[in-house]
Amino acid sequence: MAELTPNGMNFRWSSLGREERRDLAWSMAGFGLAGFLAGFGNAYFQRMDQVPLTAANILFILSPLLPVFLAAYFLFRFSARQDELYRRMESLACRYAVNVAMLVAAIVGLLEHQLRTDLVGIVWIIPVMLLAGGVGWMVAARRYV
Amino acid sequence: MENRLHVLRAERRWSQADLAERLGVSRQTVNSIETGKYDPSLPLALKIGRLFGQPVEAIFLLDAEA
Repeated sequence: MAELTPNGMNFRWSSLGREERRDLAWSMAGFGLAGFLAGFGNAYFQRMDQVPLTAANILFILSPLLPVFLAAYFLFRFSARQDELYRRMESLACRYAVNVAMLVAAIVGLLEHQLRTDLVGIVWIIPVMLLAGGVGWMVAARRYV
Repeated sequence: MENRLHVLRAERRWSQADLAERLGVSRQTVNSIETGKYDPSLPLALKIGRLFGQPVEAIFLLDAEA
């Protein structure tokens, strides 16, 4: 079971069991691969003026989703092995991530719609979610640890 | 909410890690409950009560009762 560090912002790798380490490692590998595929796809298509709407291109663009689903599955398995304090903190972090992401999406979406312009694009919602999730975890650590 | 977990644990000379192992939670969870930063779920509170052989309301007290 994950033993949180005194400031609550991390946990000790040594406290994890064999299966927890495996789940976490697969999860991180999945997210890493998804990031690589997304970055590669972005670099590949950015050079084109217009991307042809073919099955191959759509598959290529959506290819990061498969490792993301696998990574999420292993992360859920990892979370399921943790105790209720960890899950409470994770829940708070997720609430921050989702709510802030929705707020940012609404603000940017409204601005883009009314101004008829493309300010930042929807992809920026992903780093916003990650950042808000981190802030949420920090708030949880202050509250509970 | 206040609790007597620290007292009950000290009476049995258990460390936080000992208690955590008996309850199937992390040491940090025991520490957070003892310091009043985290209120356990009902199943965990019942488990604590059963472990110490006391009713839950004898271990966990509302602030007005403390």
